[in-house]
Amino acid sequence: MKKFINTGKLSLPISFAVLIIAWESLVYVLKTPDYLIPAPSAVLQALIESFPVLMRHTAVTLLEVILGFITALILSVVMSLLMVRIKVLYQILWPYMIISQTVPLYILAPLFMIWFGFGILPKVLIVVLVCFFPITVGFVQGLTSTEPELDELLQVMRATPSQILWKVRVPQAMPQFFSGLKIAAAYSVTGAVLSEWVGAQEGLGIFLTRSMKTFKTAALFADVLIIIVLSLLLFYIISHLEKKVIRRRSLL
Amino acid sequence: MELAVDIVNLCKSFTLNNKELKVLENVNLQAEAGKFISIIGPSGCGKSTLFRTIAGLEKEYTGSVIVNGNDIRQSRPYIAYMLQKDLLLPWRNVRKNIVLPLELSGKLKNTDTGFLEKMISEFGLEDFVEAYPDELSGGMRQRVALLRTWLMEGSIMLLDEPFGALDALTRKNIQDWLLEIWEKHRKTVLFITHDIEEAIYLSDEVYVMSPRPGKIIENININFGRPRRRDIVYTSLFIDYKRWLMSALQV
Repeated sequence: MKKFINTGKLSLPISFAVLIIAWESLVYVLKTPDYLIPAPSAVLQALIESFPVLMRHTAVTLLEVILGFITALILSVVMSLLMVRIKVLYQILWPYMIISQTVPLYILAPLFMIWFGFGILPKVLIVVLVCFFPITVGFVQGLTSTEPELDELLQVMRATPSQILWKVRVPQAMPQFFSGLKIAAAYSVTGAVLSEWVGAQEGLGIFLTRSMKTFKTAALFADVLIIIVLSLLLFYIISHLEKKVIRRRSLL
Repeated sequence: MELAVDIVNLCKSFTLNNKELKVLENVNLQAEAGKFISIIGPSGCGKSTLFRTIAGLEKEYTGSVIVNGNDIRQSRPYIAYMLQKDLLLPWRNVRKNIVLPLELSGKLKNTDTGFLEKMISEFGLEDFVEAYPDELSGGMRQRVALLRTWLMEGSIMLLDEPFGALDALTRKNIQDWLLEIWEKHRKTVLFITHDIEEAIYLSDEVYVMSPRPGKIIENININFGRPRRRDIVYTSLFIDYKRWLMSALQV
């Protein structure tokens, strides 16, 4: 009997190629109209044709994502550290943070637009809102999950509260912190696109609505493709950073 | 002889479900400086609570605990403390784990690197300084934890079942190794163990505690010379000590 071929790292590209070929053939055989489901080749063509326009929109969305993500990151880190150090702050703020997550984004997005106009600000704010929660939850959980024995040992060693925070709690929280960052990275692009959807001058979200309204489904798919690539890219950057910060396998 | 630890009529109780639970009852223990003293007793007899009290982690008690001539209520003592769990920080390599107590007390910068290197090689860790805790065996991790404890401030070491989680063979090796190091430095060691033979082999003095509430029910001197040799375990004196301690523990 023949042994299984060890595909290893090839399994993903192969499965992807199979999917694309199957999709292309099905569209060709069934003669599906382009406005229903465009063939991959049509999507590629649309991507090439609209590339300069798409890139302009991508730049805007990416700017919103980066500004929102970094703002959320700074806010989350500061708030987490404050909440861990000052218990009252945690008790006051935590319920509001959960409530902020229960209001649907598609209600907040138009509301933000009414308040802050059609510019970039309401979009950045939505990204901040989307990213803030997972980063903070991860970090706070990492900071507060401790071994009681280790705490006592540190007490015997006469560690000061700030030493305990910086030398033990923060490094210990890194795996959970990065889990939160990765979730936030994955959500951030979707958040930006959704808020552009409601009303914007530029951005992948507005390109999406325009393509949809004009039945340019292939262009719509091309737009989605860029959203996927952007999200993956952010996720990859965070994963790479994580490996740099946490070199130890055992921590993951 | 100077007393490193002097415990007089120590009583300690916890409140559990509104009921008072006596853990330690009139514990008296006098440890001379530079001695190796073991405490054995059944599980839950309050041995660890005794250590936690000496280390300043338990504040509510009656009686007195004097460390190096000072009541610990007045001045918190410098104590080196080690538990069965090694509690090494997984994101720090061996060297960085070891120096943690020096780093926390701000003395790392003034510490002679030659001294550090000497201690590292004395503890047999020179080939592992760059390794991370998850790359080490249980015995090795305990050595690292012990060296970290050694570098904590204070001339008194409280070792709470440090070898409890190790297999028999590793345990014998690490006992010999601990004796060798201890005989060089002669810090005062209080050592909790379940293992009667371990207690006799290592110690100058063995205290036996009763089941809860913990009392000292026996206190014997172990009259073997130093440095100790492994073959004392075959002597009739060793067997006598063992029989004596076992009957005190009622096992």
